[in-house]
Amino acid sequence: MFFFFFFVTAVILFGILLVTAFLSFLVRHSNHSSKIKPKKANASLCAVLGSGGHTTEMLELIKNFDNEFNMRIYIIADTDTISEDKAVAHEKSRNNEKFVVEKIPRSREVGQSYFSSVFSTLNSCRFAFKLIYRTRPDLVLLNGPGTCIPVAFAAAFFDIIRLIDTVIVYEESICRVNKLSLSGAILYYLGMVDSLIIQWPELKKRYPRAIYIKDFKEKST
Amino acid sequence: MACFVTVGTTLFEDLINQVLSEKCVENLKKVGVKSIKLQIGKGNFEKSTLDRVFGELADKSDQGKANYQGINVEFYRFKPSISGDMSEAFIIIGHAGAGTCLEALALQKPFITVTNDKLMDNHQTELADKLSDDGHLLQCTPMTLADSILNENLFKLRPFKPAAKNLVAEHIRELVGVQKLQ
Repeated sequence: MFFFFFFVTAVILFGILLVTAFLSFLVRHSNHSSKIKPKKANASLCAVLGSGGHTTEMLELIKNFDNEFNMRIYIIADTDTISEDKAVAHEKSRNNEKFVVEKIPRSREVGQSYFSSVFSTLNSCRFAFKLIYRTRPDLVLLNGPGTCIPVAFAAAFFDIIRLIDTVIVYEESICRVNKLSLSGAILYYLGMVDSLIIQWPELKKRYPRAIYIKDFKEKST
Repeated sequence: MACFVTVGTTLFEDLINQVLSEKCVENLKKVGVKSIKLQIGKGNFEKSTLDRVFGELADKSDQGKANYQGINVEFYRFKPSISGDMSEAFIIIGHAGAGTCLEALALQKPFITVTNDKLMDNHQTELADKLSDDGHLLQCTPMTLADSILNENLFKLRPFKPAAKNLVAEHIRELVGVQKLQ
């Protein structure tokens, strides 16, 4: 009887702990938090390169960064050699040696059955958790297809247990005009991203917490 | 005065056949086109098109050249980069893929996207639909291509201004707490 009582109490307390941890994560990462981040000299960046157009868009954004992000981790799907070449070419062009390209097992190939995709998703999650634990990036950049979800979960998990302090930014593809992609919607509704950037004003009406890309203004200094 | 036609990596035989139809070639001549270059991807020309335009060219050729009604016609399947052909062109006709759209819009040239109306639920055209609504490009189907070439709006398209990614980068730097290195 006593054992049962303690067990129930323990479960409830643990539940409360989890909920509190997640809520404090949401507060830390919401758009409205106005805390002042400690300044760092440089940081590490982890970018998930989707494939094709996603990779192009992501590198387009990364081209604006210089040595303030002095360590770069590129995550690509293990079947995608073109993105690897593009990432390597980009880093070569700025004479940077400090980068790695990590291959993550794809969570779902086109045409794969639903049942076996459960296992391959678990497999890519395991990979993502190990990778984030090992590299501990300061910034995780995502912009698209399924592969980015395990990485986002891993980064959020280690941030919730306060092992790392990570900023997660998702930039929706310019192809999405009326509706977020599935990955984008998952991250939006779970509130797991610090900023979700959208490229069309139509999306802003439907997803008010997202940031419209043309609302960023040049700072007058 | 070249017209460049691209289907990217898709299979879009209706488009490549339609561009070389008598009506389209005639209309292209009317707007001042002197040569046509096609990137045909995986698709093949119909037998009738081949006979009419290229004469005795074999069925599944990977490239070819001809002079049809005083216009130089040339085609190939793939190239590592088609940006050269795009920037040389006077008019660009392409499939409605996002990459093709953005590349052509950056060049600010008369641009027609052709939607593959045989594909069901073609969500790839979401971007092209929007850009056409905003007047940055003309959109049509293979059947209406000939009319679109003569559409006067083709030469009055609004330039498309892409979002400034450096401002996004600045926002991200602020979130992380690093400063841009000078």
